[in-house]
Amino acid sequence: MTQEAPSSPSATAGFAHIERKRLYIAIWITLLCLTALTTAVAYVDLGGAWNTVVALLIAVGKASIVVLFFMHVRHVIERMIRVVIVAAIFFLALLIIITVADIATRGMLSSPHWLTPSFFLW
Amino acid sequence: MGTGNSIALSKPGEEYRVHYLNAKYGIKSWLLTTDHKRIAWLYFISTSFFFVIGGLAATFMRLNLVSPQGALVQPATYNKLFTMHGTIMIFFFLAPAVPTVLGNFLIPMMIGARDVAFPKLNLLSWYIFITAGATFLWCAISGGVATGWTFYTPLSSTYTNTHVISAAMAVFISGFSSILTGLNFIVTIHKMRAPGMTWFRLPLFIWALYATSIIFILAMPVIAITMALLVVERIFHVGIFDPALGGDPVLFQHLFWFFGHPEVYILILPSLGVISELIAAFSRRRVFGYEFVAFSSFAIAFISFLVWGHHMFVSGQSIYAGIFFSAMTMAVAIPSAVKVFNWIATLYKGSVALDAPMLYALGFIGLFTIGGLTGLYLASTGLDIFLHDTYFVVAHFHYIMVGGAIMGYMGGLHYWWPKMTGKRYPEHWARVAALIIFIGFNLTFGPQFILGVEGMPRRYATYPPKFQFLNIMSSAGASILAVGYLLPAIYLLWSIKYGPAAGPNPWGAKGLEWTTASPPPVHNFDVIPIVTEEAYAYGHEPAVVGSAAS
Repeated sequence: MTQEAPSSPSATAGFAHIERKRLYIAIWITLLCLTALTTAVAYVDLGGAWNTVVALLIAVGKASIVVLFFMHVRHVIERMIRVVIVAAIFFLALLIIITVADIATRGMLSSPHWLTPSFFLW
Repeated sequence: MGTGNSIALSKPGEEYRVHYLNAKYGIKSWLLTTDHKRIAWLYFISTSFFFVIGGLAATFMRLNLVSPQGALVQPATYNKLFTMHGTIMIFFFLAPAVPTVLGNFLIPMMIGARDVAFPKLNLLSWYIFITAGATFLWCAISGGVATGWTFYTPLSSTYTNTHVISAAMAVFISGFSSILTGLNFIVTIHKMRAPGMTWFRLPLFIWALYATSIIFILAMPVIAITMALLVVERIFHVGIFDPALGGDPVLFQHLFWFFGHPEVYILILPSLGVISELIAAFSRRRVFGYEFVAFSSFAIAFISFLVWGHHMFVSGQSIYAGIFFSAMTMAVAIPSAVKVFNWIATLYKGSVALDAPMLYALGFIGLFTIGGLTGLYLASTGLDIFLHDTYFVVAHFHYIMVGGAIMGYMGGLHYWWPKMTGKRYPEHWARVAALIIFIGFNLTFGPQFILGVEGMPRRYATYPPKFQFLNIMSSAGASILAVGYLLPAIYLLWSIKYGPAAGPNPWGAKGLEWTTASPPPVHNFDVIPIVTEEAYAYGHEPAVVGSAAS
């Protein structure tokens, strides 16, 4: 005789919501518009690093839309899936923050002026 | 239904029983299988093939280094050989070996499930892996690539004329195989545990594979996108890593090593899990500090994402980043040491049996410790400037990769071989092979520590004559190591046909996988077990010494 392990009722709850087709098309058009905007902005000199900033903001917006709607994350109710999402964002942040910290401090070859032996001895 | 006349593992006179190996016959039954145990065999055959190819590349390298002028190949060919060796061994043997062979076979059996959560996805992972492997072999056959397995820019993006794009695409594709495997394992462990199999009753091998799967999912996308960016820069000259185009070559190193160092733990963590199983089984004791050993896998996995810059101390990285990465690297030694000390404490007053798997486990502890401690040398920013890119580094990571990961894999393969095949291997030969591998390994890589300290740089086809003695020693050791690996290949294959029947639990070990027949039935358990005791619930029964065929 075989005894089956009970399946968890929450196994499918995280993705139970089905979006309407019209919404998907609207999201798709929004993504296309944002792509066009990225291309258009690339031809305008915003000065300094602002072109990069704007391009990244648009990219983050597009990624957020994909994650929230196409990946159904806005309807996620299961705690474990939330943990996975937060963990993914956290590790991406680690990569970006530490890499940027390296680039930002690469030119600082000597210790800061306040970091002297007396700093540790007071 | 077959009658057991082609690959059946039962001899004339033995009782015929249907199991996963003889339930279906024919090449189609293997190539379209969704049985996790058969997929484990597909991985076993394919990763073993890549191990041989990677090993052949190493053989040619060691032969070349017998003479200071290079005894065998031109420097350009040598560059391709070490690239092929590193790429194949890391992406096509070491990373998949323990998770996809032992993990695939054992995770459902250890947690009391009939299969993994997504059996078709499991098979798809193998096909993606094979596609990636075939792409890399095509790259090698069509001329090879000479960037090293690290694909550093601007060499890979601008200067080399070798086949970077196909090699990068092979790595890109292989990442998806690992991601799918990791996803499958995580869901399986979460959702398919047998009744009563609580988290703290899980075998430590499962904890280790769970941590590995997390790294798979977090690190592999990064190498995939890095390889894609490299290909984009090489083909379309978009400025990402090339300073002439406005890019930053150190950015490539950041992206590569954000994947690359966790990758090291992808290679070693599963073997750490295997060793916990072996130590418990062959000392007849519950692993000392079970919870600490379990959580140390997660600590290693987490900290492994914070140490990548220790590969970049001399790359122009900020000194402040260097200080941070140095400190984090020191920190990752702590959970690693937790495991080692707890294994030793487990052995204390245990009923230790020195069967072949245990010999591998004991060898692992020593070699992994040497590999780990020499890693601390390299984590020291000042000392690393002296040792960077010397043979000291080569010796250090081979003590982790070969002395650690492969010793663990070999130990695990011997331990679970009777379960996988239903046959026992000749224990005497297995012990001899374990000893030969241990001696050959130390003779190969021990001298390389000295070569490194004396200043011999890695990745050169020639060297000053003063280094010849130690290089010959290393090459001689490699030939002994090769014999050590050849022996199991012979007697394990021999055992499939001629070995005596193993029975369900030849080692007298604890764990759900030992409660079912060997080889297991198609769906692992006739009745899903209900777990009522903790992992490694050994009493004080003596070990079954020399229980395999002698």
